[in-house]
Amino acid sequence: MADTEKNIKPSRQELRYEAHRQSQEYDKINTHGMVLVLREGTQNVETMKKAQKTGRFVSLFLIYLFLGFMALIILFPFYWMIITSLKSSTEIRANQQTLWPNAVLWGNYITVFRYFDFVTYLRNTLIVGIISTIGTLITTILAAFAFARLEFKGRNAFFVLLLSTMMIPGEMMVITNYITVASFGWLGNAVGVFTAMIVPFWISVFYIYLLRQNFKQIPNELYLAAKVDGKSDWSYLWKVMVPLSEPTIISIFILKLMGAWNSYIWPNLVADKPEWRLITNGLRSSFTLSNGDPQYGQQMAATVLVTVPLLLLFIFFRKYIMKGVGRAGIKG
Amino acid sequence: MINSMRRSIPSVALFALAAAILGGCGTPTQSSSSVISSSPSSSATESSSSVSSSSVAPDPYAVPTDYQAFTGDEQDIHATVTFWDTFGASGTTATTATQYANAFMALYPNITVNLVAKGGYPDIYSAISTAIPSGTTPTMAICYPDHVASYLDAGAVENLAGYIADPTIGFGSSDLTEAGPLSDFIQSYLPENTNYAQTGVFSMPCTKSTEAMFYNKDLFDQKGWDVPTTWDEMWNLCAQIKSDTTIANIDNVIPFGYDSDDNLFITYDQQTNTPYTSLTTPHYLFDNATNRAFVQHLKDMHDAGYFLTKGSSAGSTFTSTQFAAQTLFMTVGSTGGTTYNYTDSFTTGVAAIPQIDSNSPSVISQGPSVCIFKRASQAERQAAWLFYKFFTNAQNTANWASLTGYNPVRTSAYSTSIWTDWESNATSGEDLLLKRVADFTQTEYAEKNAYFTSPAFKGSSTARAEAAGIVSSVLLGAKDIDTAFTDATAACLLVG
Amino acid sequence: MIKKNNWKAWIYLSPVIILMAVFIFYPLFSTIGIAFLKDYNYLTQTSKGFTWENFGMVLGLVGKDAEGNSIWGFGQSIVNGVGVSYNTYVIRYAIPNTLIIVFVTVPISTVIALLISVGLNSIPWLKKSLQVIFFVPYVTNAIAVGMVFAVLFDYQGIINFVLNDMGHPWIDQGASQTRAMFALCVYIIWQALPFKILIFLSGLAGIDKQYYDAAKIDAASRWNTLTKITVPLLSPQILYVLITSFIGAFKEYTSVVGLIGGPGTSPGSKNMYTVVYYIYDTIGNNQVQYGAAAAVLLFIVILLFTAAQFWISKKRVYY
Repeated sequence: MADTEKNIKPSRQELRYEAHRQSQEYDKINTHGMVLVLREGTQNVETMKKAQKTGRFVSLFLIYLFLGFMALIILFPFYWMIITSLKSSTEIRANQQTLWPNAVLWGNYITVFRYFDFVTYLRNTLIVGIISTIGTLITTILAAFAFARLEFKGRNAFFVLLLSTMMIPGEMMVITNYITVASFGWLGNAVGVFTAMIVPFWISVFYIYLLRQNFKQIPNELYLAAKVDGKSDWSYLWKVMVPLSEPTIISIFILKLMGAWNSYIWPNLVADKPEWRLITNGLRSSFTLSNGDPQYGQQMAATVLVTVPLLLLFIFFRKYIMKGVGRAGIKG
Repeated sequence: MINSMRRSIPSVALFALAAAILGGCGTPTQSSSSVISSSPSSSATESSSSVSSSSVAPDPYAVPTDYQAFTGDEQDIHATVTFWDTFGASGTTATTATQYANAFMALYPNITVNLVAKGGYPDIYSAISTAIPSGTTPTMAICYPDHVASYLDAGAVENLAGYIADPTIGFGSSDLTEAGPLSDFIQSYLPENTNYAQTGVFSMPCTKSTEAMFYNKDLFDQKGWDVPTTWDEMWNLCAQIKSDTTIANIDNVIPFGYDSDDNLFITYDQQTNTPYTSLTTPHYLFDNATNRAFVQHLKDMHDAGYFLTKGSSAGSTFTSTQFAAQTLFMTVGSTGGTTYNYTDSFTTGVAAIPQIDSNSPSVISQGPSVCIFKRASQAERQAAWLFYKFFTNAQNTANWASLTGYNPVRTSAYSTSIWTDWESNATSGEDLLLKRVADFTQTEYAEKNAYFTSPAFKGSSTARAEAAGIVSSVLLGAKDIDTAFTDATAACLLVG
Repeated sequence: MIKKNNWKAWIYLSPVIILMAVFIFYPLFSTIGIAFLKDYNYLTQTSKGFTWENFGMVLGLVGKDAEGNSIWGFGQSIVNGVGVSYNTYVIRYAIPNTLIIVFVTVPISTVIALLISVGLNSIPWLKKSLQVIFFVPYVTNAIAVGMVFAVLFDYQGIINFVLNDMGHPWIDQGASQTRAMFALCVYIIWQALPFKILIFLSGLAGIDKQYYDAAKIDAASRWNTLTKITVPLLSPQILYVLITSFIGAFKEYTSVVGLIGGPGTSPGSKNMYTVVYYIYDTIGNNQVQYGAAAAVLLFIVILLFTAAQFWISKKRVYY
């Protein structure tokens, strides 16, 4: 008896396939009852086909028109941002708005590069981004597992509590957190400041929710099977669930990295010295003349420089980002 | 933190949106111009702290009891000075400040100076406001009296009276000593640093500016107009200009513009001795018949096409921009923005802002000051003080002024070779205009004691912002006079 | 089984719990506490005791007189610079603006996103490229793009140029609140589309083709297909989108800053306030206690609103 059982213990590969197949079956089974009704029409097949074809063509055309129009609206601000960065100050404010700069001014970009320590800020942002992302992944994976698979008292209540924290405006907590971080002695020295920029961001309720949804879709049977086999929760988590949720985890990684890239207020508070600053800080405080007159051309140039890496990231990892975010609402 | 952070909450600049940007002004209080009781700094007990000994107002320059005079050699000070500034990350102010820091460190090898650019004036205010409760204030920082008022509330700033009078590192030792340690400073810049709710000197001038009237000299010469010196003359001239049909495009021209709505209001109160604000409650006195009549008159002038302000201009355009574009012929703006009034198209003339009485002019004095924080160690504070002195010594302040268009803070700056050389080389273009402004402010303002400032207290920056709001909303027609004044008072009262 | 996992679960959750305790719950309780403190000065961390007046102040029921005393009452009563001042900014501007943002931008952006997603789902070519295009706003910096929109809506900007209405301000000085709110809503909707489109698209991908095939056999019209099949089957996603969007709309703030650059369209005006903007302002004015009170009230409102949505969803959402 024991021998046969050992022989048919499924390999990891087969487990994975099994989970996949089962989830597909779940999808297929999990539909409402449908009633099929056939109605007889008065048209013959050919007229119907023709009508359908023209109808389809027209509606397709309208759809493309609509989508094209919306796409233009979406893209126009970016186009405007790019050409503004190439215009001179006077042209930006001119009475006659131009759709293409009269004189293409690369000078704005040169100014930005000269006065803007791009490399340092980039390095700082990457350090903060990557370490905080890894930390978040760890805490998120652990927490999502607890919520998705482990049964414990107060699970739902605590989860609701977690979700409710999403409703709080972050502004209220900034000051207290700054004082807390200062009392830890994290301010004023390089290691401390980076720690202060990283550690508070090691939790994200949004991603816990996301990953929990994902974990929940992995069939419980697998878990029970693993338990029967005597596998610990820990190894199940890291050897089965995480690999199965790979797309979502990569999405979280990229989204979090993007978040670090765009974060501004906390690093601005905490990072005193220029060599610790992140990329958005450097941007915001530059390019405004001392009398408060903002230099739009240069600001736009700097903005373009800051946006482009994100866009590149997005283009290459599009699949993961969109898949990851999309899974959030599948099974509520 | 939560994903709200991820979506980039905007700059900390928004912290102090209600805080006005520039320093306060208003009715001058005790004008202890050049008097500093040179009390001995050694034994602190009886002499200095005897604030209540005299029956007059307590002397802000009295050396505080806990001040320890500096002993030993200046070179023996080991300290790191962190200086939060608003000089920006790049540009003239940033590079000049860095030069000064480096030169200072060369003189004092045991002192390190770290300049930290903190953005603009609201940014630095919020940065320091956050630093105070968490105990992370820098050694010294750029500030405005309105800001210092609230730092003072929290007991965070150092009284500098002791440092001023210190025989070794104070002004008593170097510079001119006959008339008192601070005699070399342009006297009108001093009162605002003692105009606080507590007695003492809590800030010192760093770089100052004022307002001047820039006019289209070529046009005035051509038309034979006299430059108006009083408000009445101004309005008469405007009427005259507007009815002159020989001027091209006259319908689209506004003869006179005033850049700062708040300065307009506050300066007028100063000139006519009308109440504006007060250090003691009730603080907000600007809602009175005189001011209402004044704003009404401004509105009449605006509607007649004679006058506008930046606050009532479309797109909030600077009046200097409109002046350079020749849609304005006269503009009152900050001397710190002198170069924006320069254009190749015509010659720009400089004159005093309109007055009530041209023989005793009043014009506002603005520009950042420096304050030193208590939390720093004694060595750090002393080092910071030394850096402040260096930054504002005659040569450096003259250099700064010649590069940026701001005023020097020392009278002896005008006799330095840096200044005289610059003046003799400033023969054309922007430099010539800067030189004209520099000469002008010295003769017409400084020597006539025209500068004034307002008291700084918890709501003073709100009062200033609300004054601007009154002028612009009435001129724009967004509110009627009664609503504008009532709303402004209401907003100020809310601040407390 | 249930009991056995108790302590283990808490161990898995411990990093999250510790971090949240320090950086979320502690500041949260501290803030709630501050909402009840009288005259809290956060520079010196002192206060003058327990009070309800901060809540009253936020709602315009408590005013301050010239001596700085707080008085319960209602309605502005300042004559010639003397009287009691009530904080009307929240009631006059912050609350109405926030409600407009909530009830205008969320439904509109959701419907547009739905239409776009359904459209995208039914086209044979260019699907992927269009998907990328529609997602681009999500990866950008809210403030930066706000500035771009400010340039677009400039009184002499391209939009006025196209409308042949040069000089009529949208968000600059003298702009009416209506026009500025319109520009703001456009901007918010623009920002909100990518995320919604994404969610809907993946939801649509999960809908079985069988339904559509059956509908085709039935010769159902496109409209009927949309309303009777697509929307109900997409209802879990729609619920998720609505909940998160409503919460976000209640907390809207960065868009106002990015677009308008200040709390109002003319100097001194606060006509573009939102509730969170007001909260943020109080921090700068050393009036943290009012901001704290407003934050507590806001939180309660959002909580009730979300709960109501969940309750409604029980009947309308099909899993």
